[in-house]
Amino acid sequence: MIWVAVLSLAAGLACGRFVFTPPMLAAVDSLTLVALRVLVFSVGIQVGSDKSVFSRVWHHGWRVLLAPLGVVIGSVGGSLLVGRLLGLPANISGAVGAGFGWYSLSAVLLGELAGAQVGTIAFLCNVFRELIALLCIPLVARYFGYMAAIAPGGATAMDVTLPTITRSTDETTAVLALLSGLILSMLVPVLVPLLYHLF
Amino acid sequence: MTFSSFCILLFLLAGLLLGLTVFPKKLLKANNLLLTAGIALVLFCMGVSLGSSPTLGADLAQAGVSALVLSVAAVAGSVAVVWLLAKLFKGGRGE
Repeated sequence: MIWVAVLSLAAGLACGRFVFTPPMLAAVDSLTLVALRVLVFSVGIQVGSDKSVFSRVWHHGWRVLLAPLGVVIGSVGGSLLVGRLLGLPANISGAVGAGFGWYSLSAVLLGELAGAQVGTIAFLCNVFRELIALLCIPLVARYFGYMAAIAPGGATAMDVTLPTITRSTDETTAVLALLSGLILSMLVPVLVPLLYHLF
Repeated sequence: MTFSSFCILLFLLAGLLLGLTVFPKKLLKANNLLLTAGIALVLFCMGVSLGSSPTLGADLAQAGVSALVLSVAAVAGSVAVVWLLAKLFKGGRGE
């Protein structure tokens, strides 16, 4: 998946730089808007179709919410803090942090809201987050406990980083990680625009 | 909230409702494919808009540095807060 994403972005860069004419560039702009709506619709179907989630949430009770809540506060808080140091506007650093590692969707949302430059920051930041998560989850599990090992992956705890989390912790934590990833995935398309308009 | 991001939320909600109710399981694979294609298309468009900027090199360098710092902060912040919450609400699993 990451290669599809990187190649698409690279192909677009090359076309925008060397191939496309100004009228074509304008057409691409309006195409983006339509593609984005189809994309988000498709995300909704995917998440809504997994009904077993609801019974599992019921089984584990409110503790299920602990990890996603911590990831939301920690990601947005951390991003806001260093965003200040970088001289980025608070609405941009907060919204980039709320991508929770889902680089494709957060990049697309912010690209649409704030332009390609901010979209690129969101893309790279959340690709880096996924890579850092894959590298540091075993260490976090060892030194900060199993619950904390769910945190680095953010939304990717339901797919890309789930195998690593499962290997570094136990079955219960793996289920909590999956649920945390799902809840965070649902929050990305809500929180990114919200934070962007809030500050 | 602008009209555009309001629309995005509406489309998400419509998808969720459809997935929860009548969406046939058989079409989930096709939906997954649509998802991948959509992501590729939108990233391509973003690349085009970025590539057509005359200050491409400087744009990318600045984006890379900001992105790296933001990602480290987001991971560190998440681990710290989840660790703290897990400590506060102990009696828990997986410790």
